Amino acid sequence: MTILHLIRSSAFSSNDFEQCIINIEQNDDIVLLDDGCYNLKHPLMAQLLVQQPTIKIYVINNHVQARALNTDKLMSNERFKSITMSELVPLTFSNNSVVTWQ
Amino acid sequence: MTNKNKSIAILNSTAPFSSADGKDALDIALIFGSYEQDTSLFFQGDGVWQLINTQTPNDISMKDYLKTFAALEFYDIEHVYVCAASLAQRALPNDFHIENVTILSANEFSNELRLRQIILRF
Repeated sequence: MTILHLIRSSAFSSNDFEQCIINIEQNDDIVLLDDGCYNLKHPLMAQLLVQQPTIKIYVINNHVQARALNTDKLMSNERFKSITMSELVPLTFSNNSVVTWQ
Repeated sequence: MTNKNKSIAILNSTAPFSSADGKDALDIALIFGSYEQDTSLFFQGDGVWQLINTQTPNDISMKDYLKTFAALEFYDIEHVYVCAASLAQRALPNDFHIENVTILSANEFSNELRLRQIILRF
């Protein structure tokens, strides 16, 4: 049973992302949207990448771009994938359930 | 409706008095319960404060919605899970104002949560 985790708030101001990480397993999917994009810069993100070496992290392209977080360094990292809102829809079907962390 | 037999998890992550989230979560649980939907309650993070015994909301002019937890059994909501790590972080004893609470390690908690088809987080 897999979960699609939608992360909508910054770990710099809330502990939603931290709680999400506690509940993540290797076949889950993670999407950063809205202020959740700021987590790209948070130490918890580095921790998550180590803790879950196979998991892929999706980011909503224009949400990241709007916040000037789409650095070349980040986007060349194969652990991150930039998607559009319409590409988010199939992700909701490929997982058993969806949790919004906000 | 195809939703009839879907199992529902209500994940509580907020303390009881600073927002209406805890009361909203309980109200929704009771509504699902009254429609005989398979509903379970999960408490993690600051959500565990909702279950602590001997709270007196009246002292801060709050309505005591915690009393309503006692109604869960009448609505056939039998599964209440609490994250042990969240309790330990806050140095809280296993002393709750409701009975039949199951304490699970962070891992077990996550595994139990993902068995539900629908997860609502408050």
